[in-house]
Amino acid sequence: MNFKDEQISGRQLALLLFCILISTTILILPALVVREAKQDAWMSILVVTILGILSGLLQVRLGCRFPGKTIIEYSKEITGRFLGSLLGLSSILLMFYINVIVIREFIELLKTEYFPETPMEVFAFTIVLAAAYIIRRGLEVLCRTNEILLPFEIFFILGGLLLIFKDLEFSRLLPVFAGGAIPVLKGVYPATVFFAETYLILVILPALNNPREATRPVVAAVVAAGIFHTVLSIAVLALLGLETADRYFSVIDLFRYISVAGIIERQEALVMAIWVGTGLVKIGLYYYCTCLATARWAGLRDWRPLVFPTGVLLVLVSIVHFPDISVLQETIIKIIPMALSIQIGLPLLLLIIAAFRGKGGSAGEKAA
Amino acid sequence: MKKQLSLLLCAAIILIVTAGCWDYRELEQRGLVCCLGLDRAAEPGKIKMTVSVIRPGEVSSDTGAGGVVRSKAAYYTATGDTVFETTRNFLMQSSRRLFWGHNRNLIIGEAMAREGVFNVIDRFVRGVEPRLRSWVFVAGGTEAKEIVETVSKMEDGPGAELDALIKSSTSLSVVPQVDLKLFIERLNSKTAAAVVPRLELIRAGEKTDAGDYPGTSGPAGAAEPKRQRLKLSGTAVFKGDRLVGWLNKAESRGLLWALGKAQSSIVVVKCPGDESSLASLELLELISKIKPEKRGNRIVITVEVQTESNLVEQQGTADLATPEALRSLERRHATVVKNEIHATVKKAREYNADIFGFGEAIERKFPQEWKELESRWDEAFPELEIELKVKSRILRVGRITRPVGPR
Amino acid sequence: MLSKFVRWLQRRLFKQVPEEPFNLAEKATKPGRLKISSNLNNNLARLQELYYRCDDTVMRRFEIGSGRLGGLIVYLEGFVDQDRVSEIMDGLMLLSRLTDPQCSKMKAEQSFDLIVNQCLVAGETNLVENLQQVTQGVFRGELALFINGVARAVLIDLKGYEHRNVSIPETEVVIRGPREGFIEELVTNLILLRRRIKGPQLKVEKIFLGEQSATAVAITYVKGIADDKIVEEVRRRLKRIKIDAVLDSGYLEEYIEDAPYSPFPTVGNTEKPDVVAAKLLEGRVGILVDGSPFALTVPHLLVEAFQVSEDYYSRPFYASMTRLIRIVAFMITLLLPAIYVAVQAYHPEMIPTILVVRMAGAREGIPFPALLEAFLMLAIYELLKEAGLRMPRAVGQAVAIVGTLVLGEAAIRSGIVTPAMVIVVALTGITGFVIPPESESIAVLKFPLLFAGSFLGLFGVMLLVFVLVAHAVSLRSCGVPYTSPLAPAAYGEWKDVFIRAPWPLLQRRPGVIDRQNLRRQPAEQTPQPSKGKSSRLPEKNEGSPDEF
Repeated sequence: MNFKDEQISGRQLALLLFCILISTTILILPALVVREAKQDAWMSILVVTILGILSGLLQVRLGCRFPGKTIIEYSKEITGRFLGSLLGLSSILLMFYINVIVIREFIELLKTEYFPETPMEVFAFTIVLAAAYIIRRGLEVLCRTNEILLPFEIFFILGGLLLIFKDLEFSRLLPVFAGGAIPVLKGVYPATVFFAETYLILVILPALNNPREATRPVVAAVVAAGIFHTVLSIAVLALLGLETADRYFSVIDLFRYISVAGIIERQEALVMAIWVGTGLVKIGLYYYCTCLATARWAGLRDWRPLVFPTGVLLVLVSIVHFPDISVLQETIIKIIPMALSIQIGLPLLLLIIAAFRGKGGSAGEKAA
Repeated sequence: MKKQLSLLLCAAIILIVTAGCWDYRELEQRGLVCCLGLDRAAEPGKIKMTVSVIRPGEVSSDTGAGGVVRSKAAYYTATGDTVFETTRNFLMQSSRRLFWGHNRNLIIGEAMAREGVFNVIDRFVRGVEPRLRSWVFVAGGTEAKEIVETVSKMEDGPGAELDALIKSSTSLSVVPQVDLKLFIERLNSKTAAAVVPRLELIRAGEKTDAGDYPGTSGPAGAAEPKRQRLKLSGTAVFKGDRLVGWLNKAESRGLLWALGKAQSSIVVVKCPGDESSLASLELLELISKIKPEKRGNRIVITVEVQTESNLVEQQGTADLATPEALRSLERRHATVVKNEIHATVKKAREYNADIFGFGEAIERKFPQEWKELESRWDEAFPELEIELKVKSRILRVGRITRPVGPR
Repeated sequence: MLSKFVRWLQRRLFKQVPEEPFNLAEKATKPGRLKISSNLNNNLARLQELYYRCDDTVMRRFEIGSGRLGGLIVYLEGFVDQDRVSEIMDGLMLLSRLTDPQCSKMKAEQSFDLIVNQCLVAGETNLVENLQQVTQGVFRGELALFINGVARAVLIDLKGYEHRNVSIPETEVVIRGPREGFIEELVTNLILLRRRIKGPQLKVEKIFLGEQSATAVAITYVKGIADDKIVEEVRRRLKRIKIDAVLDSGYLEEYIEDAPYSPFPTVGNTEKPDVVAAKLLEGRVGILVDGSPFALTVPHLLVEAFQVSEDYYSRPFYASMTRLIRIVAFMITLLLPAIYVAVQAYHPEMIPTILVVRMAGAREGIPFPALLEAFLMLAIYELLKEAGLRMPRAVGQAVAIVGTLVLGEAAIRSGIVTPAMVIVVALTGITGFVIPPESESIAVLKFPLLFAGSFLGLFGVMLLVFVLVAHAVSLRSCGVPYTSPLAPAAYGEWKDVFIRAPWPLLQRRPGVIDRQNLRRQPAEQTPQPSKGKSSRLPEKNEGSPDEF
């Protein structure tokens, strides 16, 4: 089992990461950050972008040290068989759990905003089915699908922003920096977890056709996502002010309030189009990484047989695990320390130990 | 692979056939609400809702026949304990489930407004269907029910007519345009007070109130005795979620001057040099700023208003196309604006309602001082020092330089 | 298996066994490796046996060179040029050189060589030694000549049969551009192609496919432009085919397709030689099949559906506009019915109020749900289309009247369908014709999309679109990703995808197909005003050469 049949280019990686950094996040991030940082939420997001770049660099550095291997293999190599497989398992579980949250968030959006009467099993089933269909065809197909759909989604978002622009009042962003740095930093905390999602490259980096040049796409994706979220949070704040914090899906209101000449009105269904496209790519990527990492962890030759059982688990857990939407929202906050320790802490730890024990070639040596 | 596919296909078909499409609802199964009135019911604590529901079939058929004037909406009234319960109670009268997605008008009865609206407004933000762009009105002097009934009888598209009325009011600027989102924002604010246009019912033959323009009562009233019409008249002022009083036409315009929300408006002044005749000035551009300033340890609000207008009409024979005359007109224009804003401020102090959003302005400029001020805003607001700086300009005088009349 | 059962049944029922038919055809086409005998009579007898009840074969004995040698010619009536047959026979019968004293001593073998080398005035001759080859030749329109005493035969290519003249193709109509279309005859088709690409770099490889039909299939490509790997792949796929008969290029299409179970075609077809030439020059491989006016081209990519030959002949702005229109049409025809049903049943708040009131009014009293309405209308439309295609032209009028009046007007008047739905379906139908290469896949795909839209609203539509996109990007045509250059993206090539850039800017062939000879033409060919005096009007009548 190797990545020979899976080759993605740097640009595809950048688009893929950009997509997962924006997809689930666009709807819930503004509310989470505004709750802490008030009007200065956009500053928090700028700060987070810098953190995101740093964590991305860290993850790339670790990945490049062990070319052709995933975190599952080199965590064993660095810390020994037993501890290494425990660490690998923790990453797998995190990927699975985040995916469960994303799927459930997806379902909650659909049920709250569009289809109150349709049972959520239908959505869980269809979403996971579509994701399974695509990842059985491999990472390359996922990347290409994203490559085709992402421009449309960006176009929709920018179009929505353009249409709502006349209704934005930027005075709602004032006062700037009223509470000092503390609220801004508090807002950074919940947002970091969304930007550290680049840690999936620890699994997919070997598929890159030129793994040595992973830095550029990762940084580009994080920066683009940072700008994107900043713009979007400014727009949401300029429309809703501090009410942003009260909404489950604040960006929806941006589209809901659109009204141009009495013809183009209430384009909230567009958000769904964006959400389905980007959300499915994100779910698919997590799904793929979970299956692949599990296969490597268990020493299987092929990951494809895992697609079906993992899918069933995803459907079941996403339905059963959260009793209601408020528990889901709480879980998103509660999981942050755990997630961050695996997304950023674990790579940092591994990198330090690897450097001390001299495991793996550093990127510079191999290139020379 | 093929086996799996066919299995899935079968599963999908069985799912669709057995479970059906849950949220699928045909257009004709939805009652398209175009206007909603909220009132207190006779029973204590109950809510009375009146909705105007479009009868789409008649709208369509009428277009072909031409000349047939029929009411194209039906109105229903229902009562209940909460808004949503009442909404469903309509199903006892009409088979169609109400659909709020196209409701543009939300009319609150005066009695309900005076009691407070928090308890009834929640549903319209929480729910998926209602639109944030619905206009909010307060029915002045009547129940909202009567207004909705009148709306239902309107000719060219019930609901749309009210929508057009409030939209076209920008050329007159005597009432604020308030949609649900803006209303909610003000209700959510601790200090700023909500304002809502007042909607009044004119019964045929009745005299309109004194502040109205002469001649606007129209010929229709005389011709058809039973016809009732609606009129935007002034502004309702809320304190918290309760209606506390009204602003008349001039005061409403004062509010718009201060907020910079007037798009076009007519100011009538006496002609300089000929005090017995009048001139009309049409507002073209308005820029207003509310600037809090610190003077010592006091905070003073400066309201800066800049207007640009054209002379559009003149009575008498005075030559107004001279720089001196225009400067004089400008001063008179500024005085009118100033007086109207002063009147509004006076009313706002009287109601102790921060309808200008001075509090927010202070918060944005002086967040530190605001923390202390916020807690005692109710005492501070009536005492707040307010300075007015009005600068009016008149740029053009129209196509002729001299008025009509013998030279 | 089944026939055995049927015979068993017949035996049980009728107590008699129908006679097993003696398969002469099989014997004729598979004569084994029968050597040609040196005795002419033996050959004749064997041929007569082989061609039993093939009454259109002509076997004629005659004397060569005033009776010096016995000869036999075999050919199919009407398949060879009768004039040239008489010409050759004439020459042979009166052949005087064999009566020369010098030659009179010659053995039959020598005479045969002499005849073949010096006396046959024909294009292609072919010496064969067994009757199987003779049979193949004869049934391909060649004339076989046997000479007594020689255990060989010569096949002379005298093909000459009736075929359609080169005419304007009916499927791909152009206003500006060449109007020649392929016909059913391979030789003519190849010439049409050769006239456009001159020189030996245009390769034509012929193979024969079909056990029964032995159809000539020509693989054509331009050496030096086409990727050798793709050519080899095509060759391999074609040679692998074991098929009864190839009656049209459509038969081959499904055998060489990468994904025969996909709704998207991964093999292109065209009736126009200029289109094939253009595709060959982009590094594609063309497959021409005898008996079919449709040439196949591989690799076939999704974007080719939007590229029409006329784009390249008309001016770039107009061509770019029509290309964008085609893309919009593609989306409309695929998604409109689904989105219409989804929006009106799930998201009516999106529709402008006045429109929604109109739509709701039209729906009053319609007995069917919108889904069924849409499905019925779409199905009826497909039905009408099919009927319009198959019916004799004379009854066309009747069908058109029934279609428009009964189904359109009357259905609305009687309140069975809404006018809006008729508009939607009509628009879908019309736009479906804008992109003929994908029209088949669209016709199929719009039904599942419609169901998805009415089952889960816009979410269902988007979900299915997502899956379809995923499916499309996973396809390959002869190793080339089907959706390139969209994904994997090659932004440099988008100037020939969404727009048609002016020719001087299209300096490169598509890089995904062609990897070796990318540059199509040198850069900087846009005419520039010549320097110096050219700012004034030319005084003499000699323009600078690059103005022409």
